[in-house]
Amino acid sequence: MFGLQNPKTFFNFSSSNIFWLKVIFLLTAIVGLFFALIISPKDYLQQDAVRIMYVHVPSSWISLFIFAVIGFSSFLSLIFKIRVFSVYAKSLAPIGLVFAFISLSTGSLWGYPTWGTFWTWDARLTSMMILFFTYVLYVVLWRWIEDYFLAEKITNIIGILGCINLPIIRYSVDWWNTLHQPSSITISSAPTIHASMLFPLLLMFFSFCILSLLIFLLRYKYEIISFRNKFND
Amino acid sequence: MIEILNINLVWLFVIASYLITFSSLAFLYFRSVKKLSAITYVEVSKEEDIKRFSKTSIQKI
Repeated sequence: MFGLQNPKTFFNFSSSNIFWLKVIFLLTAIVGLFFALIISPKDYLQQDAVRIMYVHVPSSWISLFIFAVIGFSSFLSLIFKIRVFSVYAKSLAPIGLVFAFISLSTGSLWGYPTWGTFWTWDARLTSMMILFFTYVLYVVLWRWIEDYFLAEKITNIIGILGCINLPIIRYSVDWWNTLHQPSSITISSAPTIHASMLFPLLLMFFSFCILSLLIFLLRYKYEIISFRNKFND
Repeated sequence: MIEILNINLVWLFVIASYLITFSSLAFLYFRSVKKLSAITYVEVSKEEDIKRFSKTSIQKI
């Protein structure tokens, strides 16, 4: 794990890299926004509404990825008794929650001009909403349960169980007839969208990844310090 | 006229999406910065940290 499972190593790493992450995020976000809102072409069918894709799709990817990391970290924390993994998961959860919220709200705003409705109980939308509420439950339990070790155990279980929903979200568009379109970009096949749209999409995704890492490092530092302070007395 | 209104309505949704996205992310970022700046940092050794963050040493904490 390159020594990063050691809080002090990670702590020093985060302190020295926050400035550069801010610079990279700002640059990529500015260029990404320029391409997403001005340079990239209109869709022949959706017209300018397609520009919502550049914030909706990266947010969905990141919220799914973060929950996968939470599930993996929860598993390691619960089974191998390594506390720092639950601190990783706790620090990541609010970021995933915000991205899940962005995914749902921008998807809803994209749905109206393309489908004619803000919401439908479609398999993809419903499973994404379940992910959002799993995040809410995860974050709220850490706040509500005062006993740190009990909260850790319960949230670890939620983190692992919540992962069952991830393949359902991913394959919902293949398993059921949904209003939501199938994936345009997959790991196993070539993307079905034009390069003029793919570039801003990937740039915005990269920009959001950098911001997620930046916020994660800030929150991780906070969690480490508060943990130290809590058990210092 | 309807066409112009339709275009504006679509752009309204686009702008609303970007505003929701960036205001949510800004809120999360500044909240994280505020939380971090409000907490006092106590320097501890590497050994102390390993001891604290190992679950098997809960009793020692």
